[in-house]
Amino acid sequence: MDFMKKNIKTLNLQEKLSIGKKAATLRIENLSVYYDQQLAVNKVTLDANPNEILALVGPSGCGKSSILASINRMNMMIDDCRVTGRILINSENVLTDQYSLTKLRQKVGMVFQSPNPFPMSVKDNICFPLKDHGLKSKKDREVRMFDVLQQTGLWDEVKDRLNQSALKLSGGQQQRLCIARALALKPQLLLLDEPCSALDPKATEKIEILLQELKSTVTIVMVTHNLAQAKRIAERVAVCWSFNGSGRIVECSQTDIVFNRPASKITEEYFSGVAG
Amino acid sequence: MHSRDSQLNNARVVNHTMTIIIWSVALSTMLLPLSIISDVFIKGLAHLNWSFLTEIPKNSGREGGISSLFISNSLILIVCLAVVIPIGITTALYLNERVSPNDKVDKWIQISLDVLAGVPSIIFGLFGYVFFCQILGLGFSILSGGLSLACMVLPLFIRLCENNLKNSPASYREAAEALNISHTGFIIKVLLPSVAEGIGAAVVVVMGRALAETAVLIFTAGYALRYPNSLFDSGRSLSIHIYDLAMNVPGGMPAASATAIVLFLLLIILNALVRFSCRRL
Repeated sequence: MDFMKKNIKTLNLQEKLSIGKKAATLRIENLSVYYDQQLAVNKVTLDANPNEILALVGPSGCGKSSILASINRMNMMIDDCRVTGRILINSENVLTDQYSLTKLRQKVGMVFQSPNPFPMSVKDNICFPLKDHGLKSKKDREVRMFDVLQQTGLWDEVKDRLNQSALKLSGGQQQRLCIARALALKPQLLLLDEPCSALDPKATEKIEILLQELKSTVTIVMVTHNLAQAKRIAERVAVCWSFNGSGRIVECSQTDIVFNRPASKITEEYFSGVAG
Repeated sequence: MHSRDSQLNNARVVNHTMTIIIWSVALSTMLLPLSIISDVFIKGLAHLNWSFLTEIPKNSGREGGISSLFISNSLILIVCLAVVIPIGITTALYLNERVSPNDKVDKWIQISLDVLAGVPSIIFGLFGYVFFCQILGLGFSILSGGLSLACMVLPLFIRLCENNLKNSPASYREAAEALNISHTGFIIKVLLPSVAEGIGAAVVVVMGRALAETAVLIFTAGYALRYPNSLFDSGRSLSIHIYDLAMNVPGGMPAASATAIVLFLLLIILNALVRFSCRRL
């Protein structure tokens, strides 16, 4: 593409600009989530730090996804959902009404279980959200698109079909496009809800490599059912467990400690396949 | 052993009988439209030629063609769709995006849509005659006809659009929410394109209804056979022409059948066109 050559200078400038934006620190304190009257998450406390991947593991229905969806207030979309406690991103509580949703969603990107690119071209999938967020210059949008497609390793695969529908890409490519789309808004924190559960092992591997590369620029919190995946890529692992229908964190620590010397009996049984 | 064999035999007999019954029912439902179509083609094909499409009707329609009616009917349809498509889509969007399912406004709109969809078309004709022709002073005109038709098909169109919007994947909305896309941006760039094909199909259904309608137009668009000078001029639709030729004009049957063939082909062509253009979106 022409704009690539012309904009090397702009690209460098953009890179310099983004250096100032650091990955975020996340602290969750006493988070409880209710659906109607049902307590789904019970007083969870968790930390995630820059330069690391935090994996949330646990059996189905233990509240992992509810915790994740509270961080960017996605569960506000659900009627009767109530969230209490504090979620601090860079020491600011995001659960208060004073913290604007716009600011929060810009700071926190999210990737879902099954790839959900918009029904538009590959290029528009990245450029349309940017335009909607007020990035007026077409050139800037295209530079940003090039940037994130490079970052996610998609550029070489899609550079000749930027104007084709994104729904024609393979599942793995679609999911990387969704990651690229989230990255285009320059988030400081990236939430992933079982991002590989709909993908084959090869596509999964690509995403795992990508996440390893991304953690230097963005803090990553990831829900996964796949224990082996957590072991491979996460720096720290939090184990969720359901007690009478409400999820709690039974253990959160360095990956090798959780897997090799778990402090909790539940973790040990879950990992060895006795429970869960 | 013996009783088991006879049981199996019985089952086989029942099976075969049922198969025959179901096939014959399916065939007879197919035979009905086929016989109508072949009847129309047999009676009308001889009358159909190029001049039938390019000339205006002569001798009350027994001779000449239908070109002026074609223009009138197209104008009626354009007026109707120009009103129905924007109002229908925005109403469906309102119901889908703004009103929660248990809301009272929603309930009342749904009830009135159901009632309106069940009202016989002749009532819409009378309403159109009183409201558009007399109160608004539009007289027997293409405009009155198109607007009355719009009133008739609007409830159906809203329903079809609303169902389409409801079936749009929730994952698009989630993604848009997580990216903090503006509501307007989401509707225009994501939601509507994702249901374009369904809305196209709804337009086809509504066009079919509008082209087939006679009762509404008799009271509102009138009977005139000449080329319309403007939207305020009276103009006869193809379906009224068929009705008139078959019922009121002795010896008009061949021309009526030929008109029916044209109407039939027109519907198929419009159907294909709309579906094709929506698929490309």
